[in-house]
Amino acid sequence: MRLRPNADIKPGGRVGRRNLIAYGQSLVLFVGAIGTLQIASAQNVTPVQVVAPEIDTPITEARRQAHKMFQRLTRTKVQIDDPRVKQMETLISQNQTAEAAKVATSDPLFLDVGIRDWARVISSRDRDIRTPMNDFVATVIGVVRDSDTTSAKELLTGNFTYRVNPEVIAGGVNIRQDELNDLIASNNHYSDLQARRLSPSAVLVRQSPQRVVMRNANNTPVDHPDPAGLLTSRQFQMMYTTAGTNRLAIEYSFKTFMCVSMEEWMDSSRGDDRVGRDVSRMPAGDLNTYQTTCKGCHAQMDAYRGAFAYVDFLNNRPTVNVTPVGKMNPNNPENTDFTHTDNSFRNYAFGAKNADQFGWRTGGEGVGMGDYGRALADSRGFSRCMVRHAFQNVCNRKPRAEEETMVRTIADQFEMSGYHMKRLFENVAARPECI
Amino acid sequence: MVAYQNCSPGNVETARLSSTAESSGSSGLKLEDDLKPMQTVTSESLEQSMMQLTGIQTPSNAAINALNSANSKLTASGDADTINAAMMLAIANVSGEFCLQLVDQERGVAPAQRRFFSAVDFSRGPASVTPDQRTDVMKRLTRAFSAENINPAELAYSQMMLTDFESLPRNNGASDQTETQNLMIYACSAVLSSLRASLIE
Repeated sequence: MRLRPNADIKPGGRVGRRNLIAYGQSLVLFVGAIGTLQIASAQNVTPVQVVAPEIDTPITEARRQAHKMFQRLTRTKVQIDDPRVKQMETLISQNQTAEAAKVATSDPLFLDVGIRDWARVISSRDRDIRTPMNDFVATVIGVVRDSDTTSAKELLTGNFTYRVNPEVIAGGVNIRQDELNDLIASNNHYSDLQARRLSPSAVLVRQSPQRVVMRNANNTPVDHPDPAGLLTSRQFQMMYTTAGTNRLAIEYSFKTFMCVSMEEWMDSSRGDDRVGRDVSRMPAGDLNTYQTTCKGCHAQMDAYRGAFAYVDFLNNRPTVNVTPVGKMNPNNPENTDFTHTDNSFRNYAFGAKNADQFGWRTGGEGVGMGDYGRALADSRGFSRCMVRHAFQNVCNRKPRAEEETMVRTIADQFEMSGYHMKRLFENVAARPECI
Repeated sequence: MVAYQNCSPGNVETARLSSTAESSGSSGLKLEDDLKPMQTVTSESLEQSMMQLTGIQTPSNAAINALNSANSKLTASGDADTINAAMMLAIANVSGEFCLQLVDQERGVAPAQRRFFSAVDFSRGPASVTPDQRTDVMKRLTRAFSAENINPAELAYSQMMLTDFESLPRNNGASDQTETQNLMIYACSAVLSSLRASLIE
């Protein structure tokens, strides 16, 4: 029996109206073919396939391919005689490679290990696979799990987060879930999910809307006034809007969701009317340095920065203000008259190189993180970046320069599929360049 | 353990590896940028892999402690040069705990219900485990954990290593039954801790 993932939880922990079926709460024992014993899982953990090795049986090339594909998609070693691998072998033998990949993406291991580990890497500035489970990771797992009903674009535009469903947790398993103390002001909730070794795919449920604390208010969580999927997750805000100037939010949203480093999209030809007051126009007395180097990054990045003008990560929690926070307008009027008076932003990344690499579909300006997230999500750059992530995650390497056409082709398919993340991983895993 | 590292194609070697033997200095092998021989590993993914390979649903506390201890030693990048002795020892430690649990699990059921040690009489000493029975065990372990049928060289080496293990002094006068269990744990760990068994290409 499997948890039905679409029962939304509303703030305060109330369960939505759809009935929930606890995952694996009955222990069922099957004895199949000789030597194959399958035990359904209990207690919301990732199930284990119990397999007897079939010694001296030849291993076909299709079996090897199936084995490799399953392991790469799930990031988990399994026996070569595993029934899932055999099922994929049959499909591969019939030239149904994409269908074979579906066997792997339908397995809990794909989400519980494969997607989880990918999300952990992209959720941290250091790109560290050992990053603890957090709301960013949980939301990525949830969106991929719910690919049939949730577009990947909602990773940047959605007004929800994923958390542990208290209704399906076995008795005696403690998951802290106070909204303020355990989900907003700390990572306790997700730390407990990790520490209890629960299966994320089995226990996560979507919670709408996103919740936040307004700055200078009374610490009471409210509906987020400007939700933007992962961009307004606690983890992202903690990483990139703590102190500083909120420029990291721009740099790393481009790095994570457009797959470009700052160096790759700098462009000194863009207008610098929105470059911040803290950027000297005469670094070391040299105007040329500013014009050729500093402006290359700041012209575009600072023009976007206004989207995050109202946010700050304070007292271990993401907060939202109703006017630009102090760090947005440092007191250096000698550099520029420009100040942020609201959370508007401009898209100045329309130079020839960037226009092609990002493939913008929306206009050149917006207000707040929601509009910013939508601009990124609507772009071709986002689709291509998701392809690159999937390729690197499954194929153990980045696409080569000469494979750019492949990347763009898969990106087009991804968009036509409705930004279906599972299909994306399946399509990539089935590529001859990956196998 | 050495025999199961299998440094032949598929593990550490990559398709785009080239030797720069003609160059002086410390760099011997030039790896293509961003080409990882294997995927990154955390203790959690290693735990899942060992669970799936052995069929153990709930690792013991000792196994979990070994996994937690191993976490910082596992490759976080997948780069070939991060596969070092510390990592291999950590994996061996974890393997030992999983194998202990597997042997305990199997000796508690009838031989016909065992997946790996059906040929072994755990009520008798290791000398009772004949070469043919040892071959059967090694075939099953290798097929299950290394996704290969054991080859003659590996089989010959494994017979030799099992014989060598038997010749070691017993711990604290361990009984015959305990020594048979230890022999099987040793065989199991040797295969389960190999690169071929623990890392994903």
